[in-house]
Amino acid sequence: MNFITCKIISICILFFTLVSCTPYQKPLTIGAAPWPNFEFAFLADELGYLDARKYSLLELTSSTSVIQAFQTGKLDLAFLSLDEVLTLVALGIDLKIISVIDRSKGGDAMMAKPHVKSLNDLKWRSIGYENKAAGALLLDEIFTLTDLNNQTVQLFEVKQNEAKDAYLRSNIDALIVREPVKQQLINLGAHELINSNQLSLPIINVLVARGELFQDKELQIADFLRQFYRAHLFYQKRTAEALTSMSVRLQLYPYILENALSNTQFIDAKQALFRLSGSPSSIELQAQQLSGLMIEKRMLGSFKTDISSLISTRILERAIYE
Amino acid sequence: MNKLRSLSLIILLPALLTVIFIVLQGSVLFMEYRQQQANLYIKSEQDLKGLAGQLQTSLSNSLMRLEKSQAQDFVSTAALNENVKTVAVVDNNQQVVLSNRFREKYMFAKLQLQEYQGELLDRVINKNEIIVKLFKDKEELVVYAPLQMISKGNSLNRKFNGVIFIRYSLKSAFSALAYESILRLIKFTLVLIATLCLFVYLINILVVIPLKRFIASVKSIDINNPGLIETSALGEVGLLQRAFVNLIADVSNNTHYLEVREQRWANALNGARDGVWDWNVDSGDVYFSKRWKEMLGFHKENISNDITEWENRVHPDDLYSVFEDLNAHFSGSHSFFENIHRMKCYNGEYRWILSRGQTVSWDTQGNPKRVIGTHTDLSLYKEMLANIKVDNELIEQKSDLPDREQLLLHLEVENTRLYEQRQQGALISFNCDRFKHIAQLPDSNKVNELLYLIARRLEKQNRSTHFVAHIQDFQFAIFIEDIDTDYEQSATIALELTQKLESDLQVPFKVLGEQFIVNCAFGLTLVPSKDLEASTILHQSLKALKVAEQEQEFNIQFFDNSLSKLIN
Repeated sequence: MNFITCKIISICILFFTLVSCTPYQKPLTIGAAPWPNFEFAFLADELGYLDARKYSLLELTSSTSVIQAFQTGKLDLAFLSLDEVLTLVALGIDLKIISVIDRSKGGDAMMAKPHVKSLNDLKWRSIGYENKAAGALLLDEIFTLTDLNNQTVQLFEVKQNEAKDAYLRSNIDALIVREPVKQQLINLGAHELINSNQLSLPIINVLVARGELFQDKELQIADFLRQFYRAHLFYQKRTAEALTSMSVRLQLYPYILENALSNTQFIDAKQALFRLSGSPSSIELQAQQLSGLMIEKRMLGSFKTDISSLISTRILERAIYE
Repeated sequence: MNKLRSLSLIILLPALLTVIFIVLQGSVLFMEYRQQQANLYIKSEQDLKGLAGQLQTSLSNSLMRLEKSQAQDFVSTAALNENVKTVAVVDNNQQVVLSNRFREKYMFAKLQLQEYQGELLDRVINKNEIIVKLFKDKEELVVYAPLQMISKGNSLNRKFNGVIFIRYSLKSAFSALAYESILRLIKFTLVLIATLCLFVYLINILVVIPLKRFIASVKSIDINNPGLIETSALGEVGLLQRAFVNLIADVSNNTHYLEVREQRWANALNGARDGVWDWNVDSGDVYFSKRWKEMLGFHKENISNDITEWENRVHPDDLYSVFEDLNAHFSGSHSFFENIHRMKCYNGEYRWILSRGQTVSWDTQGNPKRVIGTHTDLSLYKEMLANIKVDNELIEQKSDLPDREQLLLHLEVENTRLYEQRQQGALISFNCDRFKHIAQLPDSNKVNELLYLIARRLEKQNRSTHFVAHIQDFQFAIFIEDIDTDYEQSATIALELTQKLESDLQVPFKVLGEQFIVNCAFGLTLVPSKDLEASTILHQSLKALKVAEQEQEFNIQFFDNSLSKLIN
């Protein structure tokens, strides 16, 4: 081996050493509020599918907390409803919808105390709801269906984790809640007045990633998605075991969680890809309709972002096919 | 080691510099890293205490208002950091009341919370103390802070009945720190590599390439005819080139001078027909010249360059003397080594060799290192010497008369006796070949025969008072005892006897059919002579004989000049 060959080899080794010296990467922070189908992320963690050095699952109490954490950059990935996503985009947050998790099939509902028999009985009564969350849509639907308005009912901001305490206090007559709180309130004697099935626009839950991380951590995010769907597969195959594990975290009985899950429609990876694909895609159309409604109801100021630019199928494709 | 020495400076120097740099810079960065780790620990500890303080206030307010859900919100929000592994509230029954990990709520803290030490609970609650613990192996910090969870009504006495437990991982922070240090090292290394590349380039241009050209020209140089050598390099390399050119010129001159000298010596040695040997005493190797080998009948390839080739060929009888002379030289007794000995030839015969040599190099202990010498073939000389000896012995045997030694013994005795008895005697020395005609005869047999006949004729003249001896060649002597008591009368009688002897010898001799007439000269001296040795007396008569041989008129002479008148 002559001197020139030695030099070339040395330079190549140096080059590849430098190239392979990727900078230290913090673990990916993922946050979610309690919701039946989001639990598969925590189940994946519990089953050891997620490498603790790569992923940090943050357990948040309400959708508002998730929105705030995502907004302040403390979360890289967040499980949110589509209306919450639009709210964040309207605030100028750069994000990408990378998968569709589920559709609420009665999981969001207005729960009332036993003395409130119907929606019309709510007049002059107090209603608790989470302003930034999908519950606002349900409240708007109630106002549409009845002659109630914010002048005839007293509205209180009650976050998801506060709903149980609020219900137990005598000053709240009805609460707009999500699963699994809905099941907890049912156990406390509340009854359902209206749920998401009756909404003209469905409540869709999605997984979003921060825009600046989207490309840098594509592989890592794809792997997370793969493990998320793997945990769902585990639930499908070993439902009882999975329910027991998930219910411990939520401090529920497994059957309550099972009831909660029945009020949602889980969208598997391929269906999710189907909904994200196309021009315009199914999600894009739903988002456009939702944004229109939210602007109309003044839940959004203005929305000028091209919704198609918010959707990315690449990560989900990698998660499914690689 | 030799491979390392033959490595190019282009590789060796940068490699050494890189190793030194990495060791030094690595040590500095490692120390910095450890210092930053310590600083990070202090900062993290302060941050954690601050977080604990904030939680003390917010959680206390929420819990005392029984707003547990809000308290949980505070806990979850406080844990919105990938390094905060656990934020939990533990009551005085060691039960987890709140936790960022919902799964741990309402569980026994000791079983659920990692690194939780239940025995610290009393200390934290009762002494109102914030405790920070570092788990070095896990690179984790744990903080225990007291928490007032229940309102005590109107009492102003603060009663702590819970603990805020925070587990904070320093792993990612340390990893980030390590990464930064490595990145800095890489940056420094890149700068070093760039510098080294420049250094290597300059070394190559200024040193290595000129040296390689120089080496190539040196390899192709003919020392007897030095061509052009590159001397255009800069600095010390140029100096080296010029110094080498000067050295080559000196070496060339010296080589030429040595060649002339060597040729002279070679010619001299060839003329003398001497062989040369050059012995390296330490290794036992000897250089034998062609002539050295030829002397013993060997060709160049028949004999190896080992000292045993010489030693094994020395005649066993001469070996001791050779070693003795050699040791005498090595010990300094003799400044030269010189020995005549026999050496075995290729055909098994022995030849006489004169070996001479001298030590030319000594070690620090004074032992010889190199000895150089010559071999001279003495075989012919020795043969001639042997022939001469044989001839002499033959001559003595042919005369068959007492020799010089016997004469001297007799003369010694008679000189004393005559002196004691006051008698006179005479010693007559004579040469039968006055003009050296007989000695020049080519036929030695005839000469020997003639000698024999002269001796027999002298014996016929012999009486009881006469002692006839053969001194050498054609010299004879007759000692006559008891002639007379008178000195002069004895001289007269001795002279008469001499004349009688001369007339006897003048009768021709017939040798192998040829006639010879001898022409004699006589030298006389009278005996006794007090205090004179026999050899002196003989010498007196021979001296008189020599005068007689040179005398034109008289062929008889007395040693005592006072008696010359008797001859006239």
